Amino acid sequence: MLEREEIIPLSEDVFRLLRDLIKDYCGMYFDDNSKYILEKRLSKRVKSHHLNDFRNYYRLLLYDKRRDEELSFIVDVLTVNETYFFREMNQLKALSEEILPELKNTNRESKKIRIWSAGCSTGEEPYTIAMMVLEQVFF
Amino acid sequence: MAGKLASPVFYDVFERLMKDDDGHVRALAALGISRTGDLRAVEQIKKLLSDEYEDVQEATVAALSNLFSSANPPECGKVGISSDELIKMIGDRNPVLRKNTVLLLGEIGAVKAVPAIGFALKDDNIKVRHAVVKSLSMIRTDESIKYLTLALTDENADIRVSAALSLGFIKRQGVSDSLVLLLTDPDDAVRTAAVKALGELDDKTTVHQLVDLLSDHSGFVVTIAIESLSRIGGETARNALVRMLSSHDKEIRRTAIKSLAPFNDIENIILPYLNDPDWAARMAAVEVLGARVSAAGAVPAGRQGSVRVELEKLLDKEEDPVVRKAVEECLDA
Repeated sequence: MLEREEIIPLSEDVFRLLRDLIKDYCGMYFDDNSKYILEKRLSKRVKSHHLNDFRNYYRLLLYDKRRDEELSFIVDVLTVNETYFFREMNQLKALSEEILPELKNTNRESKKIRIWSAGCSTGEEPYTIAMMVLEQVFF
Repeated sequence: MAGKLASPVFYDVFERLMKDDDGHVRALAALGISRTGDLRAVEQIKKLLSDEYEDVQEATVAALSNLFSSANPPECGKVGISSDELIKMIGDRNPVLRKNTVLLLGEIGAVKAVPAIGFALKDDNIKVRHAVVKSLSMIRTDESIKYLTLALTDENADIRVSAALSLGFIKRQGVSDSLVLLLTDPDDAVRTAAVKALGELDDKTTVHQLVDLLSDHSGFVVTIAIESLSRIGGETARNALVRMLSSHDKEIRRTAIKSLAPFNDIENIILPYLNDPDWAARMAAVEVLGARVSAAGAVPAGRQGSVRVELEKLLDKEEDPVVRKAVEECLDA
């Protein structure tokens, strides 16, 4: 049967409780603007435990004997598992139009630059950067 | 395939594809035609119920379900598929087909099928039994309630949880005794579900059993018992809830504060919690007391004034921005 994805509303106070719990567990912190991330990504978990709201999901994470299992599961769910070519175009535009020309000037002598793409998953982002560097023919 | 494909052109295309030689195409076409929302499709889809391929049969059941859920209930009645055809499918060897058939019978409200659906509580497959509980809770006849009550004794804890929650959601009287038996279930989730369901039923005769659960080893059971007692109300419940305010467990304390909201004369009991070290407990106290300050006539004017004074004192020293905002809103209201 096809089921529609349902987003369960997350109140501000329960968001803070949930956020603090996750931070204590794994150090991952969600600021006030990230409420929608928890709301969107954890609604399915709430439903899968036959719960109707986030308050009870928070209680499950506090008290349930399977809490560690659930917490480690939500760390996976909440970690950004996205990687694709030309992701975050605004940042790439800044790299291409602002940063690379500046690096060209400062590294004129050595003609070398070093770029670190931290947490690069399967490589789409560093390859994107490499392509942009190559396009800057002055290197 | 999302939403309705209302154009008659789609209907004609899907109808043709449902006769395709390829089973996969037939299955997708059945799902597609169901999205047109056109009830003429019922007859076409029914022909595929006995398709040679199980995948097509399964898609057919899902398609019928789509179609019925997109149509108005009276329309379903007019063109209703014979439940006999579906009842036979509950005995199919494919568990996915059994599960979907049971769900579909529930969705179309097939009262006649209740004994067959109830019999499927003996199915070896847990997903089928889950579907049975869901289906019975959609039909909601006395007979379906009887089978739902039977599901409370299922060997699988997850099924017992679903059945208990369904009975609470339906709010049919006369099932409290069966739910009370679950209060000693070894599984925490089952006890939690039973406590929640008893709260929904609002049966005052169960107050003492719920009070006993306030000393359960599971904090989850305790917090839900607090909320259920708050819903049921009465002097015994009120006294038990006041006792829970002194819990060292923050979440239990927060829940107890909120649970006193429906009761009278609790302002002085709640006021000390405006100074609770836990921000969420203070927030709960602000919510309960703030509602009394802002609602005219909720409490006598003198007492309303003293609550207001205490909230103003809190505003002077409160450092948590969210609690501050809540206090300001209460005082402005």
